[in-house]
Amino acid sequence: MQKTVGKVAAFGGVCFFTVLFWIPLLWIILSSVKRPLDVTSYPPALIFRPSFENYIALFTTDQAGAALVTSLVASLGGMIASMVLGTLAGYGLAKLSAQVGRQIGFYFLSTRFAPPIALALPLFLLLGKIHLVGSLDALIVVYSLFNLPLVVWLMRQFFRDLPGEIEEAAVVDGCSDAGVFWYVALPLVAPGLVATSVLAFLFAWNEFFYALILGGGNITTLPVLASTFATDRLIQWGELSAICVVAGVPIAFFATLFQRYLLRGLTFGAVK
Amino acid sequence: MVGHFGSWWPWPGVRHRWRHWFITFSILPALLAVLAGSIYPFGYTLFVSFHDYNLTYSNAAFTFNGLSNYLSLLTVGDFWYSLRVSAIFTVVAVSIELALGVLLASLLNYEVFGRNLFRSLLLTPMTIAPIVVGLIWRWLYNAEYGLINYILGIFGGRPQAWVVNPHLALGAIIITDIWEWTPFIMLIVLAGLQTVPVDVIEAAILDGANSWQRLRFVVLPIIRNVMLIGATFRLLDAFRSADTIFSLTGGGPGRVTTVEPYNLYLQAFQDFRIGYAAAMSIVLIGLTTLVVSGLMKIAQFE
Repeated sequence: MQKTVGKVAAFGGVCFFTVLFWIPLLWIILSSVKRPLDVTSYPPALIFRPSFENYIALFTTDQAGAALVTSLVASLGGMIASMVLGTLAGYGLAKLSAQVGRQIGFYFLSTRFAPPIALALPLFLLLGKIHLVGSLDALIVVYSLFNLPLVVWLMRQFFRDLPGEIEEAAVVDGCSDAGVFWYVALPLVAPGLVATSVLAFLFAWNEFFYALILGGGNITTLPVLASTFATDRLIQWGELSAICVVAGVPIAFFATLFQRYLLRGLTFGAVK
Repeated sequence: MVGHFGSWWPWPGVRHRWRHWFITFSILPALLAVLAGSIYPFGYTLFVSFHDYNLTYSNAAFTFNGLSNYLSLLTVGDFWYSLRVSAIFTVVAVSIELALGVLLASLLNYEVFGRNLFRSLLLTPMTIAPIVVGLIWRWLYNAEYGLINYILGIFGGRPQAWVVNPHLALGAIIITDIWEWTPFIMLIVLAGLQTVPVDVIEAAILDGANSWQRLRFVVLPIIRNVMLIGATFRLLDAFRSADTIFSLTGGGPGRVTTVEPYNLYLQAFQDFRIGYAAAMSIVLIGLTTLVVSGLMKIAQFE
C-alpha cells in the first residue's frame, strides 16, 4: 500500500516537471508550423492556420539536408571513436587502484579546463598546416577528443559500481582479462553504456564553436546553420524553431532505439 | 554489500602483473589521444601569452613582452569582475541542477508507468544546441512579445524586462542553464541507479535492511560518485562555455552577464588582442585546475 502511494506521488512529480520543462519546447514546435506573421504576434497566437513553409524553406533554400547529414556523420563518428577508446580506458582505470585511477583520470579532464575559444586558434593553425580545415575527418577527431574525458570518467564509475563477484567467477572459470571485459563486464554496464553514448552523441551533435571554426565554410553542421538564422537585423524565428525540431528528431530516434538495453534486471540471477 | 575492490590489482591473489597487459593497454590509446590533443594547444597558448600579439597591428608581429600581458590582466580590465560573474553563475546554476537532477532521477527510478517515455521527454532540453537555446530563450524572455511575460500576465504578474534589467539578467541566464542541463544530471544519476543490480538490493533486504538503510548504504554511495562526476563536468562546462550567454544576452546589459569565456571572446575576436587573450586563457586554465583538484581532494572522490 505504501509502495503504491509512493508510485502515484512519483508519477505526479514526474508529470509536473515534464510539463514545466516542456512549455518552451511546445512553444518551439508550435512556432515551427506558424506563418511568419503568426510567429511574432502578441498576444501569442494559439489559434492559427498551420503552415509547413518553414520546413520547406529549411530544406530548400537553407540546405538543411546537407547540414543534417554532416552533423550525423560527425556526431556518429565522434561518438563511436570516443566510446570505443573511452570505454576501454574506463575499464582499465576502474581496475587500477582508486588513487592511480583518479590521477590518470585527472589528466583526461585537462581538455575540459579551457574555454573552447582558447583551444580553437592553435587547433585551427595546426589543421591548416596539414590541410585538414574544412574536412569532416578533422571534426570527427576533435569531437572524439573532447568527449573522451566524459566517457572515460562515466564508464570508469559504472565499471567500479559492479559487484566484483561476477567477474571473479569468470576469472576462476579461466576467462582471460579481455574476455572478462567483453563477455561479462560490458553487458553488465549496458545502462551506463547507453547513457554515455547518448551523451557523447549529443555533445557532438550540438557543438557549435569548433564546427564553425574548423568547418571553414565548407562544412556546415546543424548548429552552425541555425546560427545563420539570427543576424543583427533579423531573426528568423520560424526557421529557427523548425531547425530545432529537425535537430531533435535523430536524438529521439537514437534514444528510443536503445530503450530495451536500459531495462533493469539484466543481472538478475547472474550471481548463482 | 557492493563488492570490495580498488585496492588490489586487479583480481585478488594476483601474482604476475605483466600477464594483465590488457588492463594497461586499454588505457593507452585514449590517454595518448588526449595528451596529444591538449599539449599542443596548451603549449602554443602559453607561448603566445608572453608576446604582444595583436591582429590589428599593421604587420601583426610577435613581440616578446614577458609578463606584461599577465600584469595588465590581473590589474586593469574586467578580469576580476567577469570572474565574479562566472563564479556566481556557475555555483548557483550547478547546485540547482544537481538537486533537481537527482530528484528527477529518483522519481523516475520508481518504476512509474511510462518511465521510458518520461525519461525521453525530460531529456529533450539538453538536445537543443546551446547557441539555439540562447536564441529561443531570448525570445521567451522578450519584454514585449515573450511567452514568459504573457504567462506571467495570466497569473497577474507584471511583465519584466528579463534580459535588459541588470538585476534580472543574471537570474535569467541561470534559469536557462538549469532548464538546459538538469537533464544531464538526471540521465547519469538514473543510469547509475539502474546499474545497481536487483539482487544486491534483494541481498540487502534479506540481510534485514529497511528502506532507509538500503538507501543510505547501497544506493547513496553509488549515486554520490556519479553525482560528483556530473557536478565536476557541469562546473567545468558552465565555467568555460559562453554559447548560450552569447546568444541570450550578449554579455549584457553592459557587462552584467559577461562571464569569463565571453570576456575571452571579446578580447580575442573583438579587440584582437591575441597575446592578452592567451594570457587570460592560461590564467583560467590554472584556476580551473586548482579548483578541480581541490574539489577532488575534498570530496575524497573514489
